[in-house]
Amino acid sequence: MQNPFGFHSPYGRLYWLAWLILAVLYGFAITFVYKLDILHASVDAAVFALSYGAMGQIAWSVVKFSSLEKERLIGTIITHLAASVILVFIATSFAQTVLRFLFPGQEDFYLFNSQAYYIRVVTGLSLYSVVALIYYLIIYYEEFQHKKQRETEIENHLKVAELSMLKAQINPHFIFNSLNSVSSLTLTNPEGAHKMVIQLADFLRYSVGKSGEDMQSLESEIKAIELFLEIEKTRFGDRLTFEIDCDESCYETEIPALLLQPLIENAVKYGTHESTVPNNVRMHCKFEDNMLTIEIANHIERSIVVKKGKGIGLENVKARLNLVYGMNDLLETEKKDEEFIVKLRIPQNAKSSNN
Amino acid sequence: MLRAVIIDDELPARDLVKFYLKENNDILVVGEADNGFDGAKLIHNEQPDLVFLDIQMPKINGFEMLELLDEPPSIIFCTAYDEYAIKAFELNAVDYLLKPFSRERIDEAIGKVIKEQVRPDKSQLEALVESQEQLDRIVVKTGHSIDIIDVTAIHFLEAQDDYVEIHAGDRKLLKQQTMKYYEHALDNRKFVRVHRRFIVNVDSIAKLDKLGKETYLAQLKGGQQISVSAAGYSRLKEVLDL
Repeated sequence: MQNPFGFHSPYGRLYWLAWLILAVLYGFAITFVYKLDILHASVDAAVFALSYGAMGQIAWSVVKFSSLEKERLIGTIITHLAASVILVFIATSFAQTVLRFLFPGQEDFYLFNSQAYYIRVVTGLSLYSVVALIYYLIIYYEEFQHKKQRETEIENHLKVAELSMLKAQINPHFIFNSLNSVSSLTLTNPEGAHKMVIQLADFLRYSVGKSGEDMQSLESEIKAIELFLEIEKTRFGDRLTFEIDCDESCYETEIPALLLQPLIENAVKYGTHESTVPNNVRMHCKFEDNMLTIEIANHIERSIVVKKGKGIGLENVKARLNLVYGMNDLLETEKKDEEFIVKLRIPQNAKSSNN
Repeated sequence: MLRAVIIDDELPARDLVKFYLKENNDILVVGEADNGFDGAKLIHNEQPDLVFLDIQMPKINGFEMLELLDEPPSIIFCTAYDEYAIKAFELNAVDYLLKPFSRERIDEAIGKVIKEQVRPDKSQLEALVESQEQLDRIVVKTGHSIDIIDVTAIHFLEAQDDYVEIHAGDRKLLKQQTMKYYEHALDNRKFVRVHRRFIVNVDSIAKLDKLGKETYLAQLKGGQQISVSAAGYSRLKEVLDL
């Protein structure tokens, strides 16, 4: 750290301004108390302000030399005691000598000077202490600011890391099973294979490409979801149908990128992968109470005992919403007859905090 | 010539295997199914020599389907899920094809069947299912019908010689299995071996009556009574945090 009162520092001028004010006050004081004339009083005040001011500058080196982090408190106090005595002695003697040199042979002034010597030493010591304390205050203030800044940075980093962990990862099973379907179609239905490869490429381009981004428009998210569902439809035929119904006004709304992907995957997994009856995945988006409301529903076959998932998909979406919007009640699920419904609410206007 | 069936829930996946097999003079495809349930029936009816079997399927998975078969034919697993590979080989599967696979790869697998004629080892199935994290459902075959029991619906299990009688809902089902197996496979925070002859779902216990010094009689919510031995009581105490 640079001397905060150094020549090039922003507070350097303030430092010398403070000494100027002190000098003026001191000048007035000695004019009244010791009945000195203006000339003597101002020269005396100027000389002492300059020498104690310089002492204050040197005190910075002492503060730097014996910082509290490196040394114990007692060591620091001893260092400062020794330094202050030496520096005050030098500064006072120097000022006295300069004054004698400037006003040679003036006995009255001599007398005043020698009478005032001890008072000046005491004043010098107090000034030294004040300057040293101000230095320490500045150091701690700066460190405090720095620490606060670091903490905010760390918090932000953690949040980013957490968010990226929660972002949907493309399921490798989906990729390999899709490739298997493509491999089959190349032999039995080349046209279909061609179509599927393009869908797969578009979907991967979006989900791999956007995984690094925070927010996406609902419109582009829906396009990706349609691609995903089309690919799954090729794999499962009649066992999967879907309807996406989105109010025109919602398209431009931004939502966290790939937020819905795990929910759509679950809707296909529990409705189609685990079931033999047709599953219609329905998605509906609209505005309600100034919130974007998204409902995703899938069919569940009641007679089927589903191997329990670990609920990671739902939990991740919930955690991600909480991180982005700071609310933990934005996702609800409901089981209704033969349907499983996930309802999401996405706050609007509120600026997302992960930008 | 070997008679084969294809059991996979995805039509393109079945089509691909059929396409490969069409030009293979050693294999005749005699049927296909799109879930484990129908697959078990198909194998029962057709008695094929070879099954191309997917693992992840609706209703019951490939392993559970094999459990239902008295004399399973040779198995070639076809799946994208390579985490099952080790299990599949423990089971004595002939081969394990990772989707998508080439014609050369499937021909190689068929070559093995013709040469070795390995059949799944039924006794390994137990160990296999046991190594799964936790049992969520039990598949039972009674005559021609297949029942899938949600383990949370089980009140208690009772030892019956070589079988275990499963009391679930208002039904009793017999399954060829050991008590020791269920003791390990079921969630041990819910199911406690309270007696040499009984494993009980703690949620089904209405109250415990003291019988002897350390023995008890558990009254179940369904009205049944089962004995609790001294060792069983101490296990029960642990689970119920008494």
